[in-house]
Amino acid sequence: MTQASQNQDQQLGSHGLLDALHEEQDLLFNAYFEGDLTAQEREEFETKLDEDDAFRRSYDEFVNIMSGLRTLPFEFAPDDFVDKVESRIRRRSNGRFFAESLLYSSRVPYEVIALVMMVVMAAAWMLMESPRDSGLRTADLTIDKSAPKQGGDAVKTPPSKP
Amino acid sequence: MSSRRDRKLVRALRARDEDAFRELVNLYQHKVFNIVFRILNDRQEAEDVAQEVFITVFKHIDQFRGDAKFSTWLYRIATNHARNRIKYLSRRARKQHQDISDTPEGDMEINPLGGDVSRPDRQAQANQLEEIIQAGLSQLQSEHREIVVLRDIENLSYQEISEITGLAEGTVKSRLFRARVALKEFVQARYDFQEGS
Repeated sequence: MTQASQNQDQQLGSHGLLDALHEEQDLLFNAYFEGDLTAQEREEFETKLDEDDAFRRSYDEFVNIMSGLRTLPFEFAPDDFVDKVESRIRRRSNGRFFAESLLYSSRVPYEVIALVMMVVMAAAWMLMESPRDSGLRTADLTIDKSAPKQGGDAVKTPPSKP
Repeated sequence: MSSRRDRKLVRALRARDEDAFRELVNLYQHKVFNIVFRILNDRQEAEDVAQEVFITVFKHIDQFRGDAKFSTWLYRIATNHARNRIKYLSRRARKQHQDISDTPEGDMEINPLGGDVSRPDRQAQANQLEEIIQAGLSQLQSEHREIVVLRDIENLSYQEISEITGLAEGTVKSRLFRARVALKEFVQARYDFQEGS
């Protein structure tokens, strides 16, 4: 407590009245500081500031505290803050949180891998099972059965003209 | 941040766009961290809470209707998280205090939010006042403290504070007044303005 307010306390002597006076003074300080006083009230307040040293000191203390609040140093987040948030999200969501983040996904996409494997295996099975002499069989089927069964190879003859 | 940019960012966040998320955190990380730190007065707790704030934003971005500014919505989440953390720390401190009270050192005081002002003579004058103010801030009731932080440190308007806290403007003003008076009394009891210490 300041010397000014201690003197004021001694002069007045009554705690209830003192509290009321202090509260009224605080209200005034606050209203003036916030710009909530009317023009006339502001003028009266400023006159009192000029004339009453104790009032002026008390108000200056209030302003110093308010200024001290406003000039508290700005606290910056750590440099790796963004990465930390992102990794926390990935950890909690098993990598499913971001839309297109397969590159950074911490969760292996087993469903996709299983599907791809099934397709590859099916394709491989079909390739292995397909007959390798199918071309030859097709050639056999093209033999002209109407040709005479002689010792040599069957020879196709063009149809005779009428 | 402009409202158009806000809307674009929110759209991208709703689409779970990772780049948008990084942009959001880059834009607001320091502001959110500063608010949370001033309410909690503890860097480690503030970092943890600030991370949770952004996770909440990303998880609940679909609930942002766009009635208020995006920053207002973000600061509301930040103050809610900070308030919950204070409650959690207080509960934990009370429990620890009960556990310790049986030990010979049981009469030691536990303040979950710190606020050590026992070494004023070792600090420069300006730092001393700053230290006392921060300690005073951490001694305020949490609902008073967050209003002082939003108004006197972050310099937000009464309307914004009202939207962030969900309180009527009149209530914000009266709480701010009570908080300032309490802070003034705390500082005046510990700092001699005439001597500068």
